[in-house]
Amino acid sequence: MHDALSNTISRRSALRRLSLALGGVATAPLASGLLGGCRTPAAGEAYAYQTLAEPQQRTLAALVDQILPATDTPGAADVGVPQFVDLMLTDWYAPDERDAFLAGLADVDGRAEGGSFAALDGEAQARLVAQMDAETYPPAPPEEPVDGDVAGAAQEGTYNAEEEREREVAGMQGELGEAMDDEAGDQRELQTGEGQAHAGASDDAPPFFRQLKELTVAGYYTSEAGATEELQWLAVPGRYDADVPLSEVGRAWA
Amino acid sequence: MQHDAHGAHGASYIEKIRTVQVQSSGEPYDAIVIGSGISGGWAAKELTEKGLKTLVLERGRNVEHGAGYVTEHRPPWETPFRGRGDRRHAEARQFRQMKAGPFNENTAHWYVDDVDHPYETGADDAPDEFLWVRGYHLGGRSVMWGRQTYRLAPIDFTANEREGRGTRWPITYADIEPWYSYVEPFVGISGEPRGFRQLPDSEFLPAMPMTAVEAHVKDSIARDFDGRAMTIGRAAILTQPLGGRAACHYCGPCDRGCSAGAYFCSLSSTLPAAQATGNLTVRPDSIVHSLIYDEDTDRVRGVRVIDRETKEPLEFYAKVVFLNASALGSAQILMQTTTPRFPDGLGNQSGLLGKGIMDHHFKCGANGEVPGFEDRYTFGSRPNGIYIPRFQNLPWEPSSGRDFVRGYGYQGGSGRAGWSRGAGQPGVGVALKESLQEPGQWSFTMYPFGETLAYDDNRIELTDEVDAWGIPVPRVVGSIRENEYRMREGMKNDGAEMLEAAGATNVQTFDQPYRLGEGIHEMGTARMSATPETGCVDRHNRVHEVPNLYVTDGAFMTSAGCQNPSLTYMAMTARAVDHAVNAVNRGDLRV
Repeated sequence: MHDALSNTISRRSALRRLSLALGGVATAPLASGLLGGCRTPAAGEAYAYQTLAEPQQRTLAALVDQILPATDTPGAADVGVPQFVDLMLTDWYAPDERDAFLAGLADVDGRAEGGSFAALDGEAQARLVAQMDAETYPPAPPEEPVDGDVAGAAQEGTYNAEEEREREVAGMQGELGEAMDDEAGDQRELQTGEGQAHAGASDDAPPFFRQLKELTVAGYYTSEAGATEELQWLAVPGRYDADVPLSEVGRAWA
Repeated sequence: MQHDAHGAHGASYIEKIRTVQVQSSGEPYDAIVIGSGISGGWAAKELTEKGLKTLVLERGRNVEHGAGYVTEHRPPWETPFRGRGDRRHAEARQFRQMKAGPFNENTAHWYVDDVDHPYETGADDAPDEFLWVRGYHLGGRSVMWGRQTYRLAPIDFTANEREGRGTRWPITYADIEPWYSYVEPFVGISGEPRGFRQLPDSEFLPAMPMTAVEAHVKDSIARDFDGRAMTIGRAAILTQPLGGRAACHYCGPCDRGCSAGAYFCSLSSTLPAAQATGNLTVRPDSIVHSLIYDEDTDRVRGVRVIDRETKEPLEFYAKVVFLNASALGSAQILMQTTTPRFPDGLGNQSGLLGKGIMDHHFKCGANGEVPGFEDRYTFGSRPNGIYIPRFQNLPWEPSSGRDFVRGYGYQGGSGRAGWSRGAGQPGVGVALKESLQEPGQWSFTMYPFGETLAYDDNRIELTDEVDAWGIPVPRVVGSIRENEYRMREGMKNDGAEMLEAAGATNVQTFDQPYRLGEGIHEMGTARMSATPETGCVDRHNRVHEVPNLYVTDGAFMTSAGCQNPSLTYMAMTARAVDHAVNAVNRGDLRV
């Protein structure tokens, strides 16, 4: 575990106690407001990069911030997505997968005028990212949403948001458990509900930009700020309400 | 911090289980229980409450309730791989366990190391023909079980006889019914009484509610399909406090461990009750080598153990032994106990020991999106889904006949798509961020579990290899057959049909390769039978030829039903202990 991540524990405990004091109904944003001065430390502050060199870090940080920029909540680079990607490249990806990702990153710089994506102005970065997104997600046929390992969602009726979220994250690049499987390609297609666009090509690694977007989305919404400020997250809800107006809940649960 | 959590929802006070590394002693126990999982915990509770000095042997490490739940409530940002798991470690050390559905970054520590705990399986071209999912620690798989809790029905005990298939159950539903009612109030099962003939009601705590989408699908099924009905899942999760256990706080992932004790497991429920009697001794790190059999008396005298840490051989003695080491584990121990009278394993006069492994087959079904509920959402994570009882091949309903025998029930449920859909849809920047602030479409998944038949060549046997403790490495082979494959067509199509009738869109069926064992309901290796020629244990779960040896884990199952089996193991364990204690008190069982 990263040292920086442990810095978040005291705030998390404070949040948990608070939500219980309010009878378990405090939403995370409300609780954040009440806690006032507790600022979220940027996750990954103390992280030492192991795979990405500095220019690659700059390219990646600029890319992830184009995918999920800062608004009234932090952007992807602020919450440590580049560090998460570096950890995945170092300790999770197989060497050939890592090399393919790094080649994809280099390719982005190659497409940038002047040879550095990070050096482009914001508008030019946004144009190039929009272009890569359009290339990766062609308008027709429309792609099914990766809505979280639908097929594998309910071992033993444990169909619930928290476990589905765990499967969702695990399932984005094929569930870990299936990664070694001979039929992993076929299964991944079924498990993630990926649409026809990738059918038949599922044995190949997903295109670089799709991988990048998956890592960015996963890294962002599993970060403390992504989960508790941009969306909502409660360690201990304290009760279950099966049917609530969305307007009363506000944002999606992380 | 965890104590704060309990304070808000009613106190939970669960006694820590004291364990000892007792060495062998001439002083016999009244009873030895091998295994501390869901049935071993019940054996310990019942034996000790009836006054027997009982030793529980657990092959794995000790786990302390509460303090041992190291990932409980861990937020995703403290999870190094953010839920994707430590792939390198899993591929090197848990290459089989990682294929289990509930295995993930937050539960991996509950699953065994596949290098240390090897087994051989089928042909070279199907190296993982059988998936054996194991948890070696105090509490066993009761710590990470799925908690879905259903009774078998009268038709399940008569199916083999009705069809002239396999071995006839020597008991009927009437024999087990009072024992279901006995264990259920202690387990704590939330659910809705419905009076289904094919799925008898349990003694229920208040049911968990359905989402708006589930209520809609339920109404649609009731309206459009004769003989089909949906109810809320029946789960061993408390909806109100029970004993020292607190009600569920709806955090979601039970199988990380629950220090509130809101779901039933040995650590929170049966072992504390057993300890409270003063009659319990628990010894972890005790790998059973074999049973000590006395040829003169035709009885077991005790258990030979290898200490997991020191590898020292030990012996423990008792008047009665309960085998609760899991269906495969118990069969293995019986096979490792060979004597002149039983050269092929203790109590194996029938030659059926280890044969006929069953499971519940699954990993197929249907899902679809359900429009019209975009303004509805949920609060909290309900660790439970829905259930649709079996509606095929019901003897009282001729029109329910199919081109296969037996049947399936559906689990499943509804949910709104989460943030991960963002990676599968076009769009970047502020627009992407804003689109993910709202939950996505409601979808509904129909997730059936089907009965498997007992095929005698689905089996466990011992090889000549031994593991690090000198215990023979087993070979486990098995597969589903034509009946199950036919059934899977119905499992998919009926699910899709019900979703379409409910107005679901984008309805798709799915069918993934299923390995026997993957349901983690493996059972049937020492089947119950009327005679020693047709099975291994009698109607009291007692090994036919060995009157002081009981097998009450999944090994005794003569047929599988399609319902999650743990409740049946619990009820039959309590029933068997009653029989054993009566025998001990009569003086029938002696060393």
